[in-house]
Amino acid sequence: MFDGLIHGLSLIVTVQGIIMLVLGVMVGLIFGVIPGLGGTTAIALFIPLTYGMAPQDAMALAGGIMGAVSFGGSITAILLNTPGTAPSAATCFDGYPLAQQGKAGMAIGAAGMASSVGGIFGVAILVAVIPVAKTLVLAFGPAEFFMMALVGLASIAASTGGMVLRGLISAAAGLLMAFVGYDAVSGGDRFTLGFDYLWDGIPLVPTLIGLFAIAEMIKLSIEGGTVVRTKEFGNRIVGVGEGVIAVVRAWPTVLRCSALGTFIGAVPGVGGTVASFLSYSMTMQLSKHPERFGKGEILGVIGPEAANNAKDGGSLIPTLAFGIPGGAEMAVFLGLLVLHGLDPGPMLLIEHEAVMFSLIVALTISCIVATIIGLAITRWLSLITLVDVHILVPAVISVSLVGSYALNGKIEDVVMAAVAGVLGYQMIKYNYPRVTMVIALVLGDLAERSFHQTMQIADNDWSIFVTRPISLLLLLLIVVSLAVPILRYTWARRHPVQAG
Amino acid sequence: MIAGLRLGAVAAAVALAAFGTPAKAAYPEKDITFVIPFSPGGGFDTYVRLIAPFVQKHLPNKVNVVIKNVPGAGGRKGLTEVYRAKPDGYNIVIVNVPGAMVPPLVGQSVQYDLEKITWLARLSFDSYLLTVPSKSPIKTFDEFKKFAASNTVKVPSTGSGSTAHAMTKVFFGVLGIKGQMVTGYKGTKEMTLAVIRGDTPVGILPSESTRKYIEAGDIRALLTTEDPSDYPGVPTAKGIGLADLNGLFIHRLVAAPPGLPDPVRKVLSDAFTKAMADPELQAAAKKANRPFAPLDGAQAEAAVNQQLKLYLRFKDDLKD
Repeated sequence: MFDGLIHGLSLIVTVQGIIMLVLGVMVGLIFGVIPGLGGTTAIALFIPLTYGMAPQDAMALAGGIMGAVSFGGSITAILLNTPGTAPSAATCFDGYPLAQQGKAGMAIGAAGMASSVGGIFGVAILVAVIPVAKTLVLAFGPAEFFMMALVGLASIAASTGGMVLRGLISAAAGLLMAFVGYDAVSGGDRFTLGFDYLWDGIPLVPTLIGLFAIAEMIKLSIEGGTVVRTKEFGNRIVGVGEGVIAVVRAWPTVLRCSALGTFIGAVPGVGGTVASFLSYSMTMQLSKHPERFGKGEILGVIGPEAANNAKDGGSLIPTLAFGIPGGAEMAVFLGLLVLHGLDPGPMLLIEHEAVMFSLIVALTISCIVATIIGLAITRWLSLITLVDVHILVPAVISVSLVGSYALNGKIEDVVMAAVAGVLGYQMIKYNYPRVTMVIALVLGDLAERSFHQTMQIADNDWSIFVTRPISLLLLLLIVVSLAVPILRYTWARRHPVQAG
Repeated sequence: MIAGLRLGAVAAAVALAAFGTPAKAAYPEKDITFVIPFSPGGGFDTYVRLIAPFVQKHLPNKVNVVIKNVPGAGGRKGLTEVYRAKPDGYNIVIVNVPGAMVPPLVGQSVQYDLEKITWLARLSFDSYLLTVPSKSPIKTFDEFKKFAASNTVKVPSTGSGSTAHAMTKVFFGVLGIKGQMVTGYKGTKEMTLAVIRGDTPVGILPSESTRKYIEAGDIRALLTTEDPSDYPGVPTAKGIGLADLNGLFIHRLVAAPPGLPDPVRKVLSDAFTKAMADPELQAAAKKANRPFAPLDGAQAEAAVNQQLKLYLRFKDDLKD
């Protein structure tokens, strides 16, 4: 294993290797920043370019892109409430309020640092579990998927920000949206209103662009002024160091969320968006001050960011060890492997150990380089928050709509982003939380599908959820997470002195 | 002298009229768009990206072949886009059969007709395997038949109305087995994983992507639809007397809009034939482990009709 790492390092530390790696980081940051474009698109676009390259150089490029893209997405999530990639949407909830308070530098600093640590954590776990990866991947079947989705849906209760009823209404609407499209169980299409476009369901990325970016721009254009809401902001565009220190102080959160991100990344079919949202709700649930979340709590940036980058290492576990992609980005990455004659599957790590370790090394270096580049330009990027709405709003709306279109080249996606934008603005105006809607939208399909599969496999016998050990464990986790707040509340009522 | 010139002019005019306008004779005049009705990264995408430069190389007039991914509605969007385009040879598409064939058979409305479309070539095909996880007590096809006689056979499927679903019904229909589908897996990869995990006792999987799991000892193949068998010791459908299952394949075909003029069809079909015979492409295909199995336009059409006949036999079953 150690020899492999050294060999992999030696393949990357060549002139071409480093050029490709830095190119990958640049591409990743840019594709991350532009809403709609993400790692999947970036790797897909660059696959043909790698055709003439040595496999290790192609791995350097791909590793560079993977490591950088999610941090790129978070920069715009913080500065403009515009998630550049779907997993970055969770960073909006506290990152943007921080930017409004003039603390964009701190938020970006924390995001960068957390991304780096998370990314390295994910890669370390990847290297450690490769020998047992297969067992791990096979331990998760439909019953466990359903329980994981349920863990996420249960966290909605904690994510309502004190507005339980409004939060549940948003979540219900999100679930309804998740059920639009082709239904694999009955074979028909549901709620598509006769549009072929809705056959694939409500597309996540244009919806997120609408709910966050466009909604925010509508709000800004009505209120006027700049993103920054405080007057004493002045010329103080610093705080990057503060953000970095905040990450170091919050090391338990960083480790917890990195572990969660790696784990969710490793489970095929769940994905990065689930990872960052779940870690956001987990961080909030475990916090002593859940009421601070959504209003600029730095932990709300650190948690999802750590998870978001850790998931890259995680999703490489099933991809490399088993040839089963951990998510959409990995599915495209499989295409890249195949093009270079590296047939993904159980034999990959044995037959092409050095090349695979060159990928792992590239991914690690990329996480660090992306953060350094990102932090170096934060000072100037933060100035965006001081730009007047008359200039900012048209620019952001154009980029958002072009991004929605660029993803699949469908004009309907642009319409979807616009509709979601209006919906998002109404939700801001009437104080309905968007986070619960997004969690439900992301998890609804997984929950429904895996539930039906479990029932079909077990002949409608519900005991399958408790006879499988991992499923039982997840179920207990749900019970605990729902019971703890109630117990805390009861405890506080009986011991009023301590509650103060 | 003057009369001679005049005669020459008349002759030229007659010649022009007889052989059509120069524009038609000069096909192709501009770039050809090659539509992939799926997202980048999958098998269909890989094949098109492999062959496109070589088709370009073997086409006359030095035009470009431009690749365009048009994903959506399970591949129907891109196919419909090309089907509705002008039949001038500048729009072609890679088609999945049975993937494009099944939706109209199960009663979904589509805006294309595969019996009218112009087939240009087949790039490759993939056979199907009846598989069990390697830890399964079922070791042979005979043992599977015994198992099926006393049990409802559960099998993973992408979902009612999908290609995998219909294919499985045809497969079990020929075997005379009533199966029960466990639906909702997203694509072949997840179905493969379901078989290895043992979600269901058996699975019917495409051979190409299953090979590495068989070689690694995760999955055991009991039967293949390809004859001769690609796997030593695995019986073929033809070999055990199930001739109907023989040739139940996934074809990767290239098509153009209906009503494509024959001379244009010939230029395109020839370019694909020459491209697939190009040693350079064969080397690239070998490196990427994506073998080509060439058929020309007419042969491709025959292969589609064979599949259609088989699926039509079970048309009533396919709908639920």
